[in-house]
Amino acid sequence: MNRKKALVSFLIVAMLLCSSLVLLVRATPSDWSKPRPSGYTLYNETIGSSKTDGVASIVVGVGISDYIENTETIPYDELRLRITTSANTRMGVQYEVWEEDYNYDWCDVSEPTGITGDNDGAWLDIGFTFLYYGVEYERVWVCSNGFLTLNKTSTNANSQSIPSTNEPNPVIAVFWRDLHPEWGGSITYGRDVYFNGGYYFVVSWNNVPDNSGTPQTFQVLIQHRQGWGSSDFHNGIFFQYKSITKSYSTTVGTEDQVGNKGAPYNYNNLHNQACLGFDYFIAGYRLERLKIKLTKSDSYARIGVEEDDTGGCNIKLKDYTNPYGDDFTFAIKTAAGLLLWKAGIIWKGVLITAEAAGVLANDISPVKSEYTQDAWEGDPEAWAYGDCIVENRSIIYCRPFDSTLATTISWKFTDANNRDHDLTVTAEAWYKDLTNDNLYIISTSSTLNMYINSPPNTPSKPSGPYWYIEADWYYDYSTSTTDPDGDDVKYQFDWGDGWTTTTGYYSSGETVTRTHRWSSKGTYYVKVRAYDHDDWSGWSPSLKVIVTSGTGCPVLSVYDGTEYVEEGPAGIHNPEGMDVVYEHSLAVTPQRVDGAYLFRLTEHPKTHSYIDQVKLYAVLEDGTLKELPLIWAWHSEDGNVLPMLLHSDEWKADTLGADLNEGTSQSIDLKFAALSPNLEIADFVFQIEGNNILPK
Amino acid sequence: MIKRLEWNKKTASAFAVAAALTIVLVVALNPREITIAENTTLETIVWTFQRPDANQHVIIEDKLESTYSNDGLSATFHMWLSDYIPRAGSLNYDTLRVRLDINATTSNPDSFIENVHVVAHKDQEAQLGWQETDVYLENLSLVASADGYRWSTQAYIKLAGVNHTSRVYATTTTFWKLLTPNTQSHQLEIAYEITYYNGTAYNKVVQPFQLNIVGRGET
Repeated sequence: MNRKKALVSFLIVAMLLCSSLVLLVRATPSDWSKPRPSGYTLYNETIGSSKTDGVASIVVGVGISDYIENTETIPYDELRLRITTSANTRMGVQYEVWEEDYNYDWCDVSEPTGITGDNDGAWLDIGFTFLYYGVEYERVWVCSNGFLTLNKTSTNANSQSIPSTNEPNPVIAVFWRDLHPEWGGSITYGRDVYFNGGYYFVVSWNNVPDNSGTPQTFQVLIQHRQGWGSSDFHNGIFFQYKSITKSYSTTVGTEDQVGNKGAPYNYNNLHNQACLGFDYFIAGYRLERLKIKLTKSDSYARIGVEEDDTGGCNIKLKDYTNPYGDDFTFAIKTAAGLLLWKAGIIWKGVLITAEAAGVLANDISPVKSEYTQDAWEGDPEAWAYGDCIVENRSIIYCRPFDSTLATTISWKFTDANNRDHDLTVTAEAWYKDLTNDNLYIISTSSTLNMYINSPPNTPSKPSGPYWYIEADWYYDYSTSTTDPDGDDVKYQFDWGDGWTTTTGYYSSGETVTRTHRWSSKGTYYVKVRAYDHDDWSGWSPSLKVIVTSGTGCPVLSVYDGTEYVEEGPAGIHNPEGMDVVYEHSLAVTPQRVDGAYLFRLTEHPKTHSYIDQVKLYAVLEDGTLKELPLIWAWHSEDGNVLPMLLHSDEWKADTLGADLNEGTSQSIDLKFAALSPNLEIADFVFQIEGNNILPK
Repeated sequence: MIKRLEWNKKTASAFAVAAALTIVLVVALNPREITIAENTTLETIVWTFQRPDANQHVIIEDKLESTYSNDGLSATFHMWLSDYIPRAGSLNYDTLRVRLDINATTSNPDSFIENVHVVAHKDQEAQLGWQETDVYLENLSLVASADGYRWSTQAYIKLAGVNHTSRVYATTTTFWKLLTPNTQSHQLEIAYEITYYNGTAYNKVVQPFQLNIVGRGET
């Protein structure tokens, strides 16, 4: 292996290691993060970012279109992205205003503008390309109220300070005041006017009365920089005042396209025979190159740059003569509009970029890029870029203030649907200060992440009453689970009766409780599952719930040698107050305590029972039934009730539930004499006679 | 004067070297002119599919296949129609994803595969894109490729056999992007062309495919 190969191998290994690290340690959250879906998914979402450095600004918008699952034919999953970046250096343009009274020389122009009404205006062709705050214009809107706008109409009579984001923007306020050409005077213009050794576009307000009826005479001259290379320098703008009066309601100055920058002049300093010059003489900062870089985090993905979907405006790419067509125009306009909207949210400075994209969207040059690079699994980066150039110009070299580049990306995942992927979309603008050829780069990034989601762990078996519950009453059930990714989870309870309850989102590990009532008796299986925004967990183990509508209480507990364990309801409910005999085969095996088996009957909180007789039978291995004598019965409040419970008669012990007994449910402790330990007992059967009336 | 003479000598030397290099490069890079003795065009395989409702992703998985065996050449031509993806977001076109697959061997003594070309013809309301990351080649090298831009009607991939190989394999994916509403029909013709040397002469086999996408409401 020669040194070059060794170096390449080292770099590849280093890149892979770095990729692994990036995968393991995600330093910052992604701007867009979604789990890998299991089928075709339409997203139609957009993210973006922007940056400005005071001279240039750049914005990148990433349209996330859709996710396509692999097919038998196409062996990879794919996320399709439409990426648009737009940059400009118009922020570096700053007009200066000069008092040039020594240059004052009134220029007579006589061509009528047709503006004769109050709050009136007209479009006029300039006759040359007018470069103003980095954007070229071919016509102006002249307003009767003493100002010009450039890409929109306005007849606003209420002058605003400069700069101001309020419309109109941009504005050239020669003498912005409420003027009334309908009362007299005229507004005239001249195109290609040769004057003082140069050519000008001139608009004059001649004796146009203001609100007070005082005639005002002033004019604006826009210089044609003939032979200078019209796109290399901004055109000079001159205001001349022949006969004016001062008023606080007057605004004078220039303002840019979004109203965040301008060159104002204090109206108080105006006087007759005054001349103001507004200029930006240097060639300025111009864009050299736009680049979209796609940096991926891992070696289980590829990036395909779709050349047939790559293009831009004010970008020179390979096939300069191959028009792309209306769809691209549509796409770029959409992107520009989107950026404009985004920009309003992201950053005011970006408005300039976005607005520029919108302006230039009408001037599309479609293209094929020779400057695209795909990325295979081992490559960290793909890209598309183009050199910036002013389009539709005969000038051989002319760098623009604004450029837009757009491309479509296929981000392909070649893993087995088991890895996370990260992608950083970086937009770079290279720009140069043409006064000294210094090159600068400004960039901004957005990040995307597709991850393998871990569903929540299976929630715990719901906890709550399960065997002595009554129909039409409400009972609480609780559960909880954790999510391996720490995501919030919501729960879905399945009550087993055809009803489900879905909760809102809870923190991972937080216990959630929901209430349910069953409308009829039966056995129901309550289960629950959890959802983490992306995936469901499995169902929890079921809680068997026996709804004993009509069978009533009290509740039987059996001492198992350690504690009293609830066995279930002793169903003696009878709404008519007639005694019911209820037999129950024990699930809990009673343990001998001093030669006896211990039981407890506890009244349900809401009911009242009359207990006439209780019996306990032991079923031996050979099927023989042995009755175990009741030897002790102790009521929690009334004391000994043994005589009442020995026989089936009218003498009964009654027990009150907590709701009927000041918060404490009454109970009766029972002792049945145990059989000889030598006998093998297969089962125990508890029998109770009495009645229980549910309160209405 | 002496200086000028020396300069002229250097210039002459440089010109001589440049001329020699030019000749070498022209000889080396200029593709050989091949005379095709026999040109065989196989029967066109036609596939037709009706455009689905808007916003519907349809997995198709149709496989078109053709085999050819003659004159010491065995070739298999595959075209796999994967799926139809609706327009989404700012991607203002429906897309048919197609995988192309060619396998060929020659068996005569001294025979070899000269080149493999895939040439597509489309209408101007569609685009056709290849992506380099989808190209997989065995014993072939990529000579040239061109995407099918909207206003162009042709796209192609040109592959050359490596070292007079007797076995080649190529596969790639193409994206046929339909810029029209789903009521419009489109046609794409893709021809697989294999030029081979059978030991005595260069022959060519062409397998044409015709893909028809029928707009909804049309027959």
